[in-house]
Amino acid sequence: MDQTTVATSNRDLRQEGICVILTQRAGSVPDASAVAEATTSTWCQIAALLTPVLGTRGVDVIFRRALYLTGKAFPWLASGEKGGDSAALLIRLKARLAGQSADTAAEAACALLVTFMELLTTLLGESLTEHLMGPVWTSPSPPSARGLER
Amino acid sequence: MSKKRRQERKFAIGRGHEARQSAPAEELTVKTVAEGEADRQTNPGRDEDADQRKQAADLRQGTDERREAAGHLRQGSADQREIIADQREDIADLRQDTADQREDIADLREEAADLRQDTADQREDIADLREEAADLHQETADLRQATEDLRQETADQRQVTADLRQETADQREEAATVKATIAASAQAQLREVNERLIIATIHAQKMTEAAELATEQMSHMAQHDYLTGLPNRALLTDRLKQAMVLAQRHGKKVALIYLDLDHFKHINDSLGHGVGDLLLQSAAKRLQTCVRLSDTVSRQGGDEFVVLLPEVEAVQDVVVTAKKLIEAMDRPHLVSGHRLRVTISIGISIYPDDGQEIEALVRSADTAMYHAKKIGRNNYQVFTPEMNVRAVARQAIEQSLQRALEQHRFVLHYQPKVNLETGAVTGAEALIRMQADAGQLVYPAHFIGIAEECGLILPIGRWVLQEACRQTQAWLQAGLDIGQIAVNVSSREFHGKDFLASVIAVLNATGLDPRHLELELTESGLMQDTEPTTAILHALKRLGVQVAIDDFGTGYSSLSYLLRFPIDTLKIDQSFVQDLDDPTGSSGEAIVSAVIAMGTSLKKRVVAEGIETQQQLTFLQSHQCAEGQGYYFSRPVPADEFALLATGLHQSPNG
Repeated sequence: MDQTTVATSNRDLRQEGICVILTQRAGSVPDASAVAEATTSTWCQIAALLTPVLGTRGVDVIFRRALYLTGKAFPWLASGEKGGDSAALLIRLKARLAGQSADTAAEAACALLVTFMELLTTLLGESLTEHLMGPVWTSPSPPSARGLER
Repeated sequence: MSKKRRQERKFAIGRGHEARQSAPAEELTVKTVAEGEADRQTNPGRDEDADQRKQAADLRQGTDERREAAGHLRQGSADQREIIADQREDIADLRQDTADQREDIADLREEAADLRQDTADQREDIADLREEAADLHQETADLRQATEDLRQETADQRQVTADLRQETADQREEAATVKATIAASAQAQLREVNERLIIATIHAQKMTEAAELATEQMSHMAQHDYLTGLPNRALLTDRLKQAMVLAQRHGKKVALIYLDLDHFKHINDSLGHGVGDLLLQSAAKRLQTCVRLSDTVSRQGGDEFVVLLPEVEAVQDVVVTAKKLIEAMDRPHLVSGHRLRVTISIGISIYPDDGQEIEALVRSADTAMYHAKKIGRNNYQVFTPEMNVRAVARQAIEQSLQRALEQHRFVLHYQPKVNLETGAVTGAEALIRMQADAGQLVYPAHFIGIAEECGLILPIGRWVLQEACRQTQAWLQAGLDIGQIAVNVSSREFHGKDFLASVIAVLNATGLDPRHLELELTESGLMQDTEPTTAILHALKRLGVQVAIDDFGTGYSSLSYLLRFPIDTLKIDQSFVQDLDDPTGSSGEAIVSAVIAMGTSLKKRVVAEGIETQQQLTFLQSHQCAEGQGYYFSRPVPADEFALLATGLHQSPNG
């Protein structure tokens, strides 16, 4: 197995893992709102762990980039996003996810978080990303987004 | 005898002798003198004897006495000598004593000197000692002071040490605080650095993405037409090259369909470039619907398109496609609220029959298209070798034009404009002629169209304006006032770069008063780019240059421009004037009288073109058409003939 295959395999595993965890967090019978809530909560947990290391703007810029890249496959997800307040962006993202079908929302949310993680891995490397983001993907459920936002 | 006693005895002897010795002498001396005196006074003669005896007796006594005295003296002298000897001895003793004493004294003096020296030395020693003592005192005092200073210094150093200890303690405390602050700051700075790195990296990613996108777009733009998105000439050439190779390998043919929109220029001119562009986009889409995916529809520029059909079996297959294209294009195009109908003319060439090279193949298709236009447009023509004759002729004219420009073989002829009431010359229209290689004159109808197509119209137009103004100024300076000189300006010239500037430059160069110049423009030429047109026309008006509409009534435009543009003159197209001779009473009369009426009411000069008969002149005079030109008055003639003619017409206004 060459390095490319390993990397692909890791990416697939990560993607699968992220999607599974996100689905778990959304509940046993997830609707779009639950997916949106789970996505924003997860995102807030990620932000809380990364901000002390990368700074608020650093985290924000990666997230926006991930949103932009994911928007190519899901144009409704990033439609009209060009800047502005991060909190407001998160609220809009949540509303957009909630406005889709559960499957579409889950697919887009999963794609967004996977893209974010891939971007982060590109920037920090596999090891540091694993080290920093481990708690996000091992804890069964993150604290509520509202709590983190406060 | 002691020295003292000898001295005492000497003194006693001396005193006695002196007493004895001095008394007889004095007594003798006194008696002799006194006796003599007394004898002289008592008996001078006897007395004199007596006296002499007395004197002798005295002398003898005196001698005796003297002898005694001498004995005494001798005794005294011996005594004295003894005494003297004693004295001498004493003196010697004294001298010895004195010498001894002197020696003693000298010794004493020496001793005293030694003592004094010793004393001085001792004093000096004492002084030195005192000085040393003083120094010692001073030294001691200094030592005491130094000791005191050392004590003070030690105390100070102790204080400094204490201060340093305190300071060190403070610094340690401060260092601890700073260390803590630095640790916190370092963490914050590290976070900030990370933040910046992340932002910069993401920004770099975006820039890279944008650069890649731009590269893709540039690559696309390099091969595609920006307006229609169709492949451009470069991509078509590439695909044609490949198609030719494949066709050669598979023993097949390649068809090239060259087409353009008929009268597209009129639509562009009258409705504007915006509508024209939308029409081109609509046409492009229509064309694409008529071909296979493997075919290529490309835009060459303007309203020209080329369709490439690779791997064609027979010409008939191409004809089918050409018909489909004509049919598809014939349906109305809805563009910006306009319902536009447009037809196309098509030329077809086949590889390898009509050209082995790309350039030849394209030229053949273009020639066929030109042929299709010539026989009425809205049709297709398959290239035949005979068509090349026209293309060759066209090429020859283009070369002739180039040579004529280089060799100054253009000339101007002048056709007078006449006051139809009085017959007086009111002006002239400058008309270009080209002297062919054989010497004959070639009329503009044979080359102006080609000159416009190949761009030579610009230098030719500049030469015409320059020459017409120069000649008119020459006539004016010679006393011949011809009124106004009219110069035709093509649409391409009028809308070309720096047209206004070139007019001003020519007027300045020739010195012609601008009111003697009239520029004739066609309706379609004026209708392009109305905003710049208006600006140029107003600028010309401000200069004093007149503007005429040539061939009025034949264009494809709105009459509203007559109000918008500062136009001075309407020239009725000769086709309408010629219709005046139609015995059936065609619409010519109605059009001409309408134009005259409209021009009069709009306060424009109206000039009828192409007057050839008395009947036409009579009609125009009866409808108060002020001016006209045509063979009836004069053909266009060279400058010198025109001068004579103008003079003659001036002289006989009704001639």
